[in-house]
Amino acid sequence: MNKKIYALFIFSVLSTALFSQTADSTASQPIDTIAQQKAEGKKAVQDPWGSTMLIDAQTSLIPSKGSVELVIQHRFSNLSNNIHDLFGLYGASNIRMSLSYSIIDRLMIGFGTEKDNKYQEFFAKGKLLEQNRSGSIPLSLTLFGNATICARETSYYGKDFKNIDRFSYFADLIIARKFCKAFSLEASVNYSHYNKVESKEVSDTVINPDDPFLSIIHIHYNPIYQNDVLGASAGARINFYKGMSFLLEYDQGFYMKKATAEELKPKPNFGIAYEITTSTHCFQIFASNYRGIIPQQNSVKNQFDFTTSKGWMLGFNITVRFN
Amino acid sequence: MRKLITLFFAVALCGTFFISCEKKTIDLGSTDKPYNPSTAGDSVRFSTVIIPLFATNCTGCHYTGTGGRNPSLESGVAYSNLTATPGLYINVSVPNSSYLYVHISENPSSHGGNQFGTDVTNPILQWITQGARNN
Repeated sequence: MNKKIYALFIFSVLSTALFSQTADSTASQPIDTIAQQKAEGKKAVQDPWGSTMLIDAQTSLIPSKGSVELVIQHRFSNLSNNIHDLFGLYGASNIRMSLSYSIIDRLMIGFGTEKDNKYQEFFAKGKLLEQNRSGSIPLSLTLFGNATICARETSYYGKDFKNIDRFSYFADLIIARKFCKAFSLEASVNYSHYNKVESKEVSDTVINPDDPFLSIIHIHYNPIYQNDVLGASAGARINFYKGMSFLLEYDQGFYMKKATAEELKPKPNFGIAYEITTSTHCFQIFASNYRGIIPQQNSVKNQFDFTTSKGWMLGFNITVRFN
Repeated sequence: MRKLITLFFAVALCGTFFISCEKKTIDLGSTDKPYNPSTAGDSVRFSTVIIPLFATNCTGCHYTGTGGRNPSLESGVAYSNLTATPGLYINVSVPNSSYLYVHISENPSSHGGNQFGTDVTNPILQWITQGARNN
């Protein structure tokens, strides 16, 4: 009798446990899965780009909160000397190094320094809208801006020099979408402003009709660039195998007023790159037409023409991220 | 806190732009200079020394119009007449071989007997030596 009671007790306990477990799991599974799915869907798409830089343009990528990113950008000389300087590899190069920090997931600030024109760049990038995995937000909207100080010698800026002559600014609104693991696309509109632009000497002879010996030569300086330029750019990333991708980029600056005879219209940039990415590094090697590296320098003053071989140069970007 | 930080940087960036924004061109020294400049060392200027010499001593024969001898050395046309054909009257490389100088200074004179003294020939030689500018 005791054995029967004992067996019945054990059976009851086990069946209760079994039924309760079954009853519990049947009741909890749908709720956990739906919540998990919702949470998963709200997350941002993963790695739409390998780096915060495309080739010369900014991408919509901002590293996660607390990340420190080091970027080294190198542009070799153009191809004008062919083999004589190993297609620009041994020619005069331009370099920029920058360090940035993500204050929060959606905001990054940084500082960069460039060689050719000694630009000291203070920049920030913030994400206004982030594409998520569920697709309810199909695009990312990112705003990038910089304020740059050109540290060239004072005499470069001519008469009436003031420190604000050195300042230039750039603002960029980037719209991007990751279509799938293999393909991401972005387009942007941007605005560049230089406080003071370069000029060329122009002389006009003003003849005095009453006495030619009193005629004068009026020497003045006309600008060769405009202070304000509107720009557009587009870029794509084609991820063909694991961390390897091809990058394409096109950038163009537009004068906001009709160009005078002396003004040099900015020439566009076309770039093609090969990229290798890991979780903490990104290496891009490319051919493009922009030497300036600083975005407003490129957008306003680029004179390298991609329709001629002399307008091309090789370059590379290295991005290192410390999480 | 996050919003505060974001707002701070947005204001800082915009503020930098609006506070220190201008639109200028590099000017390396706009200036007006005389069409016929004299250098600091020009002691004999064409307009103030040579033209008056011509008026006193030459334009009696060397004038524009019927009967005038070439070249006309009147005020408005003297310089262009003397310099129209390079080397014909003036040789800045070898000033004392300039026909303008030789013709009025050599002895015996080839200038119809009109040999001028140093009060006339020296300033002309000095002017040619200083580059024969239209100053």
